[in-house]
Amino acid sequence: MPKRPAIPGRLLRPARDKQLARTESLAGTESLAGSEQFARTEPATPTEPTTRTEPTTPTEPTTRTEPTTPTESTTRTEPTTRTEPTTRTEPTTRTEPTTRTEPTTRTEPTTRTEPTTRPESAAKVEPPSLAFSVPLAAAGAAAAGTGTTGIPAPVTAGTKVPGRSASATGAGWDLMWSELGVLFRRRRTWAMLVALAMIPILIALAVKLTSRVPSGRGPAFLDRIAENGLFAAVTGLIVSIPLFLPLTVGVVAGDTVAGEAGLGTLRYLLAAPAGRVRLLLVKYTGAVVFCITATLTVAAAGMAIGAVLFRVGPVTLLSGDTIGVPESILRVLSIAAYVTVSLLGLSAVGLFLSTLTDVPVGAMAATVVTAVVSEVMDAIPQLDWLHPWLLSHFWLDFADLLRQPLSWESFGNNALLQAAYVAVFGALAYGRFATKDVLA
Amino acid sequence: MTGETAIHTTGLSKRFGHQLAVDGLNLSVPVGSVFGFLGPNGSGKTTTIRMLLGLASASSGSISVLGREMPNGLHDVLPRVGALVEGPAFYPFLSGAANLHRLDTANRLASARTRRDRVNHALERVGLSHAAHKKVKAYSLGMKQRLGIANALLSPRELLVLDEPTNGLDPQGTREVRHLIRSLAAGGTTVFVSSHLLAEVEQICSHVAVMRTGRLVAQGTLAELRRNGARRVRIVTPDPGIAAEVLIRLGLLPTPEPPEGTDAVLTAMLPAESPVGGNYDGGNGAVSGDRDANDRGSSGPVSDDSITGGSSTKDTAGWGASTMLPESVAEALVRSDVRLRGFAVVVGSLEDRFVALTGEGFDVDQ
Repeated sequence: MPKRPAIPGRLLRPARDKQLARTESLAGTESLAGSEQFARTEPATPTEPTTRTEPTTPTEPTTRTEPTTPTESTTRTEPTTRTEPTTRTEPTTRTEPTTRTEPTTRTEPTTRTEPTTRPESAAKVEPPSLAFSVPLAAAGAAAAGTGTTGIPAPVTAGTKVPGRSASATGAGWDLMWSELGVLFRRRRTWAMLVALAMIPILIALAVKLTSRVPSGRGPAFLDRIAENGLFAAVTGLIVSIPLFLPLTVGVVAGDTVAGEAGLGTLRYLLAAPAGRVRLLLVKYTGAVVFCITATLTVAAAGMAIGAVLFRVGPVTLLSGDTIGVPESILRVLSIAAYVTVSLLGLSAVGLFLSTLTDVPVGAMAATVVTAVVSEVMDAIPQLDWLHPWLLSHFWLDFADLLRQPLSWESFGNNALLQAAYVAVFGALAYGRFATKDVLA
Repeated sequence: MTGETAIHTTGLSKRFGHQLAVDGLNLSVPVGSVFGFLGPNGSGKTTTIRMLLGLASASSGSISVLGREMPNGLHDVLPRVGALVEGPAFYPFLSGAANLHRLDTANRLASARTRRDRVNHALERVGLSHAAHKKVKAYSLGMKQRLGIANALLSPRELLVLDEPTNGLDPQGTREVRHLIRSLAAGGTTVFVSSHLLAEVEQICSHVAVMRTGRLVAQGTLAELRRNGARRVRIVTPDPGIAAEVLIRLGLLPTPEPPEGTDAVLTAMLPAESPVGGNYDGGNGAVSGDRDANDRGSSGPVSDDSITGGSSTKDTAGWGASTMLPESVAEALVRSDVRLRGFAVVVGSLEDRFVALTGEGFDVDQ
C-alpha cells in the first residue's frame, strides 16, 4: 500500500487530549490548566513514570521526528491548517500520551484532574504538539495483521440491512429495494462487512491485550483507545481507508453491471424491461448504500468494541475542546460520512469499469487497482501538481471534523472532488451502457 | 402489416466486425401464431432475438414488435413480451421464487401488489411450486429451464419469445412445455419459439421460418414448408419392371427399395412444387401466404391437393402438370397393367426439408 508520509501528520494531530473522562475534580485544576500542560509534558514522564515504562517515551520521539518537516511546525499552531505534520513539538506531547495511558491504572486519576475546559489559549498552543503521527507503515502493517487474522465477531449494529419493503412505494422503487435485497442477501456482502467490523475489533483487542501502547506508534489514535473506547472507531476507519474500504467497495461497484452480465441476468433485467438508465442509477445507488453500510460498520463496530473493552467518556478534540459522549458519537458518525463520501468517486469508477466487461472479477480488480494507483501517485512528491485531482487525495483529510468549532471545509473539498468523479465516470458509464449490445 | 403481425422486421441486419450475423432479415410473425424459428447453431437466431428485445441494436433495418417500432417503443412493448433468451439465467444464491420477484421488479408496469400471486402462479404453471424456496444453485438444468419459462409468464403477455424452451428438459418436461405453449396460443398469445428440435416444431408450430448463416431461407406456414419439401411416390408391386418403365416414361426416376415380402418396392421423386432453393430461397421473406402458380415462374410446379390438403390452385398452367399428380402416376401404372398392391405419396419429413434448406454436415456455417 502506498503510504503517504504526510498522512500521519495531517490527520493525526489529536489534541493533546486530556482525557477528561474523569470529571471528578474539574474545578480545582482549571486555573492550572495551561501551565499544567506544559509542565506535564516533560516532567510528566518522571512523575507518573513509575507505572508506565517511560523509557519508551523518550526514545520514540526521536524516531518519530523523521517524517515531518520541521519547518511547518510554525504553521501548526492553528488548528485549521491541517496540512503539515508537525514535528518537533511532538516529542514533548508525546510524553503526554504516556501520561494519558494511565487511565488504565485508574487509581491515580485524582491527581490528574484534567481541566475539562481548557482555556482556549492553551488549546491553541498545544495543537501543534499533537503528535499522533502514525508511521503509515505501521498502520499498514497493523491493518494487514488485522485483516488476516480472524477473530469471530458479530457484525455490529452498524450494518443495517435494508430489508425488502413489503410496502413498496411504487413500481419505480421496487427495483431499488430488490437491488438492495439482492446485495445484502449475498453471503459475500456479509463476509466483507464482517471483515470490516473485525478491523476495529482486532485493533481494540490488541490494545486491550497489550499492557500499554507506546504512544505515537501504530495507527492514529491507537494509544487513545485505552482511555476512550470511541477512538477504536476512529482508528478503525483510518486503518480501513487506504485498502480495506476501497477493496470492498471495488468488489461491490465492480460487480454492479458486470456481475449481472456474468450471471446472464442482465439480459432478463433489460428485457423486463428495467430500462438502462434506471438500472444504472439503481446499481449506483446500491453501491452507495454499501459504502454507507461499510463505513458505518467500521464505526459502529469500533464504538461497540470500545465501549465493551474500554471506558467511554468525553473526548478531547484536536483543538483541545472537550465534547460529551453524544456529540463525540456524532463526530465519529461525521467521520464515517466523510469516509463514505470519499468512496463515492471510487464507486462511480467501479460502475464505469463494470460496464466495460462481462467478467466481474476484472472490473473489481480494475477498480481496486484504480484506488491503489491513485494512492501511490498521491505519495509521489513529483506529482504534486496532480495531487488535488486524485481520487484519494482527501481520503484522510477529515481532521477538521475533530476540531471545535466544527469546520466542514475539508468535507466540502472532498465532496466536490468526489462529485466531479461521480459526474465524469457516471457520464462515461451512461455513454457506454446506454448503447451497449448485451450479448452475455 | 404491423396491425396483424406480432413481429415484423424489414431488412434487419447485424454486423459484428466483419461478420454479418444477421443479413437482411424480413421476418413476419402473424398475431396468434406459434412461430417456429429454425436454424442450425450459429445461424443468427439468438442475435435476431436479442435485437427483437432491444438487447442489441440493429446495424440496419427496422423492427416492429406488437405494432411499435422497436428500439423506441421498448418500454411500452417489453412489458407485454415474455422472454427466454439463450437459456435461463438466475441469481444462484436466491431461491426460485426470490429470483422471479427480483426480475419482476425490473418491470415497471408490474404491480407489486399482485407480485406474490403472479410468482406463485407462474411457478405452478411450470411445475416448480415445490421447489420455489430452494436456492437456484440447487436446481437441475431442467428446473432452471422451467424457472426461465416461469419468468416469461410472470405477467400476462401478448407475445412470448422462447429461445430453445425445451433445452435440458426430460421428455415429460418437453411434453409439458409443448402443452403449455399450445394452451398459451389457444389463449391468443403469439409464441415465437426458436429451436433446432424439428419434431417439436412440427408438433406445436403453425408457422415456421428457417435461417441459414444469417439469412432467412424459408418462411411460411408449416404446411407450406412441408409441401415444398420433396414428395415421393412409393409403389408396391410384383411387376417392378413394367412399373419402372412407366415411371421413366413419365419422367420420374424409379429407385428400387427393399422388397416387402414377395413384392418389389419402388420409389420415385415427384417434382417438387418449387424446387429446393428456388422460390423459397434468399431471404425474401414474404414468400408464402398466397401461392399463385402464376407467380411461380416457369418451373411450373403443381400444387398438391389431397395430401397436404390446403392448396388453392389446382389448375395450373405448367406443362405436364396433370401427369405429375400422384393419381396420374397411379392411373398410368394401372393402364399398363401393373398390379398395384400399394401406392403412397410420401411427404418428406421436416427434417429432410430443413437439411435441404440449411445444408448437411456438422460444419457450422460462417
